[in-house]
Amino acid sequence: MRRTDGQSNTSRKDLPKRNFRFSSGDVCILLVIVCFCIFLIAGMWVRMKISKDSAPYVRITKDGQVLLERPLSDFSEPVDYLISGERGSMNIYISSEKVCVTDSSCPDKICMHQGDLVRPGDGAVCLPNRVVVEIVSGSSGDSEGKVDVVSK
Amino acid sequence: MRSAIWTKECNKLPSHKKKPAPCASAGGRAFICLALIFSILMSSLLTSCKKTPKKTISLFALDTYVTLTVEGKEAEKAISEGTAFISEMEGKFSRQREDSEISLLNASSKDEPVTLSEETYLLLKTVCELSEKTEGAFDPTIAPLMDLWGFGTDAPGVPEEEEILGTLSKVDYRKIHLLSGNRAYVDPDTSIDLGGAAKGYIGDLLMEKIRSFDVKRVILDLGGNVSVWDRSSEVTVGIASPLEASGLLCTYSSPKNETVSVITSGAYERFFEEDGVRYGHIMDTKTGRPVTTDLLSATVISSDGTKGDCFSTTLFALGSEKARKFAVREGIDCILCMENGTLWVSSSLKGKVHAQDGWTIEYFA
Repeated sequence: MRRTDGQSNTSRKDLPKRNFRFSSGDVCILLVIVCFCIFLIAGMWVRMKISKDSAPYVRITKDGQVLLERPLSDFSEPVDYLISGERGSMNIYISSEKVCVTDSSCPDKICMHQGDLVRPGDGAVCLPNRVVVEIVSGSSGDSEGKVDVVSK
Repeated sequence: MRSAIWTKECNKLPSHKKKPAPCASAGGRAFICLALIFSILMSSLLTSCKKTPKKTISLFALDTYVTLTVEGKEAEKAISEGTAFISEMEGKFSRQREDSEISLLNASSKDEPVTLSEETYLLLKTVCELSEKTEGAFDPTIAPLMDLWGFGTDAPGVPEEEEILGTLSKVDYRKIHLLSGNRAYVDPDTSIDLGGAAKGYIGDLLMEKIRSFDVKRVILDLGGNVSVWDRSSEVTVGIASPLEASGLLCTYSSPKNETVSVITSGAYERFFEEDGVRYGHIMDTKTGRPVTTDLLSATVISSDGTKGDCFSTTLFALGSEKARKFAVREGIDCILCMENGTLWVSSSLKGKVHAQDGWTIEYFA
C-alpha cells in the first residue's frame, strides 16, 4: 500500500494528469470524507428545512393543560374557538394571520386588551379563567427574535 | 474489508500527528486530513452534547402569570425550589388569602399586634420607607381605595365623590406601626395591599434562591416584572409598548453577571371603561382617583426589585416632569414613555437602551 503511494507520488510529479492513480487506501479515505461531507450537508439542510417549514402555531392552555395546539396555517378558514373557564366563557378568534380574544366573561378583560396576536412570542393571559393563548414559533424558539423576555 | 482498514488507520493517527515527515506521501496527507476532519467532528459533537440543561415553567401564581427560565446543571432542582418558594411567599403576602400574614395584619389592632415572619416584616419596613421617600405617592394602604373602585372585582365602577373622600382618609402609610421583635399592627380603618411591591421583592428573593444552585442563566418573569441574570452573557429585555399589543418600545441589554430587575408600570393593561372614559388601576393618593399623567408607562431598571416596583409606580403617577426630577434626586435608572413618541431615558443608561421604530430616545440627567 505504502509503496504504491510512493509510486503515484513520483509519477504525479512527472505526468500530473494522465498517470495519477489512487491507491485503495486513498479511495477509502476519500470515500469516508465524502460520506462525512454528505452527512454534514444533509444534516444541516434538514435542520434548515425544519426550521423554515415549521410555521408558527397557536397554543391554548387552560390551567396548564393544552386545549389546542395547531399550526396557524391550518386556519385559512377563520374559526371562533369557544372555551368555558372557571368563571365563564371565552371566545378566541383564530385565523392564519392572527389570533385574538374577542370575548371573555372575566371582569378585567386584560386578555382582550392584548389585541391581535401575530408573531411568535405574542400571547394573551386570562388570569380569572386561567387561560393562556400564545403564538409559538415552530423551531423550538430559535427564531423568536432577539428579545429574551419582556417587561410590562 | 473497508472497516478493517478504517480501524487500522485510526490507530495510526497519533503517530502520524507526532511525526510530520513521513506524511509527504498522499496517504499520509490523507491521514492528516482525516485526523483534522475527525477532530472537528468530535469537537462539534462534544459541544453539542454538553449543551447545558434549560428548564422553563409557567404557572398562575401571585395573582398573575409567572414564567421562570433557568439554564444550568441544577436547573431542574432550582426551578422546583423556586416554585415552592413562590407559593410560600404567596401564602404570606396575598391579601386574598384569609390566612396570609397580610390578612392577619389587616385584622390586627394596637392591643393585638401580630408577629410577622422576617420576610414580611422587612418588606413592610422597606415599603414604609419608600412611601416616605415618595411623600405618599406610593402607599401600601391603598387597599380600601382599590376596593371602592372595584379593581380586581367583577364590577369595577366610578364611586361617588363623597365615598372617595371618605375612603381617602383611610389611605396613609403612617397608619402602619412597626414594633420591635418583628411585630406590627395597623389602624383598624385601613388595610394593606402589597401588590405594588411584593412582586419586586419576591423577584429579588427568588433570584437569590435560584442563584444558590449551580446555574448559569436565570430569567424570572413575574407577570411582566422581570428579573434577569447571566453569568457569561448579556440578557436582552424588551419593554412592552403601551400602544401596540405585543409591540416593543425599546430593548435593554443587561450587563453580564449582574442581577437586574426591569419593572414597568402603566395603566394600559389593567383598566376599565365607563361612559367612554378610561380608568387605570394606579391611584392618585391625593385625589383618590386614577392618576392623570402624561406618561404611558414608566420602567425602572435597578438591582433592587422592591425599589424598582415601588418607584415605577411612583414615576408613572408623578408625570414626566416631576418623574425626571425625582429620578435624578433618587438616582433611579428609568425609561419614561410619553404619548408623543419620546422616551425619556436616564443618561446613565446610554448605550444600553435601543429604541424600536417609532420611538425616539432623549436622555436626561
